[in-house]
Amino acid sequence: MKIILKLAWRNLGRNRRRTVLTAATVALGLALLLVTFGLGDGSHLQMIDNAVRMGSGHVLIQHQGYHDHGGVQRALEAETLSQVRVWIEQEGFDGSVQSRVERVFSTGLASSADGSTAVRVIGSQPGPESEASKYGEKLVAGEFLSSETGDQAVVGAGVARKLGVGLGSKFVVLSQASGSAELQSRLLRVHGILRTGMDELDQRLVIIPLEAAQELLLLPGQVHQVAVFMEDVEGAHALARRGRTDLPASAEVLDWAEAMPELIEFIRMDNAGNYLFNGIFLLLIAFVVLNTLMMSALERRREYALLDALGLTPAGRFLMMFTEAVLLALFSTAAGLALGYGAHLYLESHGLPLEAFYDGEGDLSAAGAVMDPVLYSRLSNERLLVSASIIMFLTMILALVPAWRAGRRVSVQLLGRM
Amino acid sequence: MVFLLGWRNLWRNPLRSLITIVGLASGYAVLMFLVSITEGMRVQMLNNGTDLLVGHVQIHHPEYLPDRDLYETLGGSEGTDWRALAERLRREPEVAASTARIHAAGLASTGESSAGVAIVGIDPVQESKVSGLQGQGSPKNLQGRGLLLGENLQQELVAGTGTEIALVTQAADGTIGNDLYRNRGTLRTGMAFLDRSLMLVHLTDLQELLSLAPERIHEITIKLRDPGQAEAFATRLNDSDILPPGAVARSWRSLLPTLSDYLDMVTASYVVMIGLVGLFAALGVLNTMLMSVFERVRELGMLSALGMRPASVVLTVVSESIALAVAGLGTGLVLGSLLVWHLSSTGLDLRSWMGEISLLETRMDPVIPVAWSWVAVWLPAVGLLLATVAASLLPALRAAFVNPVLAMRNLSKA
Repeated sequence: MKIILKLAWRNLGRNRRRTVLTAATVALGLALLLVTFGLGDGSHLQMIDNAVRMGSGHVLIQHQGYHDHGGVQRALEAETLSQVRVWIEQEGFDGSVQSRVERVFSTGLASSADGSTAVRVIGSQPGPESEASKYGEKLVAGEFLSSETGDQAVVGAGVARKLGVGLGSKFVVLSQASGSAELQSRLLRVHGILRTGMDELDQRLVIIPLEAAQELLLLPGQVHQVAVFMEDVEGAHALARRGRTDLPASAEVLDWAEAMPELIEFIRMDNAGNYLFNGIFLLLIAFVVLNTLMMSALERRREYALLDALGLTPAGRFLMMFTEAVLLALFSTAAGLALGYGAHLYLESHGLPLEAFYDGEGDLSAAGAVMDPVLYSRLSNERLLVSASIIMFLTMILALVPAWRAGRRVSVQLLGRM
Repeated sequence: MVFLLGWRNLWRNPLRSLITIVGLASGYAVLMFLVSITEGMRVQMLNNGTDLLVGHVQIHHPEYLPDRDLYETLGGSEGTDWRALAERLRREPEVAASTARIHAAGLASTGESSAGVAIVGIDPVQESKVSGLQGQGSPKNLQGRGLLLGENLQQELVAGTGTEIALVTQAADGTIGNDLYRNRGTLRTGMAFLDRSLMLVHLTDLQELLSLAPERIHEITIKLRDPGQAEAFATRLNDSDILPPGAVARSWRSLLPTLSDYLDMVTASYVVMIGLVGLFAALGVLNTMLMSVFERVRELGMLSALGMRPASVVLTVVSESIALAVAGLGTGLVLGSLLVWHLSSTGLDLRSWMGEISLLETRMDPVIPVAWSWVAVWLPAVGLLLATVAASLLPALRAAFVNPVLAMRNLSKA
C-alpha cells in the first residue's frame, strides 16, 4: 500500500503542468461555489434583517386572524396583552430575546392645505421602536418620535412630498375607529421624515406614538401587535412554536417567515437559481477533469504494460490510479478552500458594492425587503462542508473511469512500441 | 489546407476530442438555456410592470409627477379636450390603445371598517384595452357609481359584492368630497402594495367627487404595439404638435426607473454568465490542446525542419481548436434548440417552488415563459468561440517554437 501511495504521488509530480491545470480547474470551481453561496446567503440575511427591522419583528403576536384579515377591531385585549407581556418576560431577555415593541395599525387619509394621500398609520412605542428598528438610520430630516403621547409624527418622504409638508408642519389624519361608524381625526406635526428605500412604503408611512394612536382608534390599552426582537434570525421559529403552546388561543404567533411569506419565496427562488447555476458549473468542471484524467490514462498505457510486466496486479494499478485521483482531489480541495475562503473573508469584511453592476438611482427592493447597497458574504460551516465534499466526491467519482481503464488487461505488445 | 490539417488532427485521438466536444456542446446548450430563461424572465417582468397600469408611455402636466397634485391636470387648470387627444393618439401607427385617468387619495369606509385608498378614475371601455387587470370585476361594470377594489383591500374592508362604500376625499375646490358607491367586484394585480390600496371608479364619477371640470384629467396612458419603441415614441410626441401646451410624454423607462435599470443589469449579467462558462471551457480546451501538441512534438519538429513557418504552425493548432469549437457549438446548438423548443410550449414551471413575487415595481410569475431569442444563440457562441481560440494560443506558440533537432531526437518536451 505504501508503495502505491508513493507511486501515485510521484505520478502527480511527473507531469506537473497537467496536475496544476487540473487542480486549478477544480480549485477554481470550489472557490466559485463558496463565493456564490457566501454572497447569496449573506444578501438573504441582510434582506431578512432589513425587513424584520423595518416595521416587522422576529416573532409577532397578534389577535387570532389579524394576519390574514386585518381589521381595526381585531386587537389584543388588555388581559391577553398582559399574558403576552408576562410570557415574553418569562422567555427572558436572556440574550436570545432583545426587546418587544407594541404597535397598533390603521389606514387613513392624511391631508394638509396642499394635498391629501392615503396613509398607513403605525402607533408605536418611541423608545423600544427606535432601539429595535432601523427607522433611525433612515431619517432624512428631523428625529424619531421622542414622546409617548402628543402630536408628533414621523412620515415617509413620499407622504411629506404629497402633502407638501416639512419639519414642524401640521397635517390631519382621518381614520375610522374600532367599533364606531364615525370618522376620527387628529392633528399631527411632522417631527421626522424618513426614506426606507421602498417607494410603496415611503408613500404611505406615518408613525405616531402608541397612545396617540390608541386615542385616535378608540383602543385604550389595546394593541394589534407585539413584536419580539431577537439576537439572531435562527431562534425565531422555535420561539414562535413555544408561543403557540404557551399563549391563549385568542392570540396568533408568527415567526418572521410566516409573517412575510413572499420574502421566503424570493429567497427560495434566488437559491434555486444559484443551485442551477452552480450545478451547471460543476458539470463543466466535471468534463474538464474527466478529460484530463482520461488523457493521462491513455498516455500511460505503455507504462501500465511495464508495471504489469513488473508484477503489479490490475487491482494494484486500479488502486494506484485511484490514489492518484484522491491525492489530486485533496490537493485541489485544499487549494479551492484556501482560495474561496480567502475571497469570502475579504467579502465578509469589505463587501461587494452593488454599484459595480447597478448604477441606477434609488434602492433595489424585492418581496418587500430592501437590498443593501453593499453585499457582505456569510458562510455557514454547513455550506463549507457541503461544498468541499461535493467537489471531493465529484473528483473521486470521475477518477473511477481512468482507474478502471488502468486496471484492465494490458497488451504486452505496447511495451515494444516507442 | 491548414484548416484541413487541423480537422484531421482532431480525429487522431477521437476519444479526447469527443470529450472536449461534448464539454463544449453541453456548455453551449446550457448557456442557450440560461440566456433564454433569463430573457423570458426579463420580458415577463417588463410586461407585468407595464401591462398592469403603467403602460408604455404616459402623458401628464409637466409638474404632475412625482407629487400627483390634484390641480396639475393635463393642459393646465383649464384642462384640454382629452377625448380628442386620446382619439388622435390612437390613430398613430405605433399605438395599440390609449386611455385617460384621474388619480386621487381617499378614505373608504363601509361603516364597520375603513381604509386609505388610492383611487383611480378610468374610462372603462378604453381602460380594458390598456391594462391587464385580472379579477372577478370587470372595469365595464363601473356604470352608476360602481367601484372595484384590490383583493386585499376588499378583505380589509370586509366588503362583499354590492356592499355600499362611502368615499371621502379632498376636492379641488377645497371642500371635503363625499359620496356613496357600490362594490362591483375585486381586482388582482399580484403586486402586494397595489392589491392593498387600489380602487377603480368611473372617470366622470371621480370628477364629480373631486369637483373637477369634465375637461380636466391627470393622465393619458398609451399602450404601444412594440414596448421597445417607447422612448422613441415619447420623444416624437414631445417634439410634435399633437400634444397640447402644458403636457409632456414620458416612457416607462422614466416612469419605472428602478425596473428599467434592473432590466439593463439583467442583460449585462449574460456577459458574466458566458464569461464564467467560457473560463472553464477554456481550461478544458487548453488542456486538450497542450496534450495534442506534446504528443506531436516530433512531428512538429519535422514540419519545422521541412520549412513550415512558425505562423503556419500556429495556424494549424488554432484551426484545430476552431474545428473543436465548431463541432462542439454545432452539437450544442442542436441540444440547446431542442431544450428551448421543448420549454417554449410550456414555459419553465416553478409553481412548486414559488408563488407570485412583487419586486422592483413589477411582478414575477411562477411560470417563466421561455422564448426563442437570437441573443441566446449568438452571444454564447461568440463567447465560447473566443474562449476556445484564446485557450489554444499558448499551445500554438509552444508548437511554433519547437527546436526541430531536439524534437526529432525525442528530447524536447515542447
